[in-house]
Amino acid sequence: MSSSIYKILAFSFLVMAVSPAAAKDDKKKEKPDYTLYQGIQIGIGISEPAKALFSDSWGASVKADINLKNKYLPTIETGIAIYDKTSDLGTRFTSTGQYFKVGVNLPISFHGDKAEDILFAGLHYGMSAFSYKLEGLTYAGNYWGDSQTSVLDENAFAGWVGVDAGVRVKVAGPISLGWSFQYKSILHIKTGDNSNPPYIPGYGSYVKPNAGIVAHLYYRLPF
Amino acid sequence: MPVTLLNETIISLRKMYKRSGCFLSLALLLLASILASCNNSGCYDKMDVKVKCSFYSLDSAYAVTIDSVSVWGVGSDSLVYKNKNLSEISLDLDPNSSETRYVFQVIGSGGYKFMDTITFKHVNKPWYQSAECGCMVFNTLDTCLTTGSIFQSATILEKEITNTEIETEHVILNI
Repeated sequence: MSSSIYKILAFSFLVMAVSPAAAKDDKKKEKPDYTLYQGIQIGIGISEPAKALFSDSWGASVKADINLKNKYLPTIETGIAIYDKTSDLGTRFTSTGQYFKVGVNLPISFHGDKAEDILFAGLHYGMSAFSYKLEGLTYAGNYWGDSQTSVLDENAFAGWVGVDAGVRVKVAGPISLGWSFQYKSILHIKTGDNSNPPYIPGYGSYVKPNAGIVAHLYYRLPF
Repeated sequence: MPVTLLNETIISLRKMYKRSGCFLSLALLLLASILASCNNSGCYDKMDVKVKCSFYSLDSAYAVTIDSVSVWGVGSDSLVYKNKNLSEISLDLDPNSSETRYVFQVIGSGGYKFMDTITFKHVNKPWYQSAECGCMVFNTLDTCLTTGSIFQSATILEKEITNTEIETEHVILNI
């Protein structure tokens, strides 16, 4: 846990350390004074549904961020995730749940009056309440022989913190595409009564830390 | 769509490179180190779940070591301990039953065999740890009985039997 926090802090410091350099560069060019509200972008996750083709998990998500002075982009995101995996030993894991994320992205660099093209880093908190099933669990190595059972009604709640770094670029008109790299670690978890959850919606496999890349299609609201 | 995204990303990054080249270099370095640290394969958790019993004098004043001990489960041919000198034993409880019985045999001087049967009554609880480690069964001890041939009494000190390492023992067997 401590090493995870260290890595997240180290990443945050790196981002912070580089940001002033970019800001200093801007000052020389008489940085324009942007108004507070610079627009809202709505993003639809395009990588999560595609994962159904090659992964044990898939889902759907929608996010929104509001651009404040081209300096801060508070974001919210919600989604669902479905997980269905059968292990080599015949154990089947299924999980379904919603997740919610909130955080802020900071532009490292941008292009365009309303930061249509943007390179950003951010910090987010995510949470998920979900249910899951474990069928065909086998315990081996006991003196009294192997045994099998199922755990069918498990409920859990987890919260995590994530550091994002990504890019969003204007494709045509109000449409943009973007991807971001996410590095995250569990902050707190209430496990099921009989198990650690194998998968957490919005977070991924229950390992600390976890990492992933997601892609979004964005639409800029016309106001 | 992925090709468009890639092309637009490259074009945009070129535009922004002067101000962000340093960040990109650091980010790539960091990305490499993070991915390298994400290798979590293998099970590093303790998966043994056994009831630990220690031998004490009848008044529990001092620990006792017993010579020539053999232990096996009732109904099983397989020995857990064979002719050992022991001051404690660690035993699996049956995950498919609420009662587990072990035969405890001591060979005394002259080859005479003393036998006791230790009975554990318990509640089982399956626990899935992780994909790497699999699952195990935790137990809650309800009762521990002996037949009195070797052990005069049994005292449960810790009811919960899990994979957590404990300082003391779960059960004291008084001789």
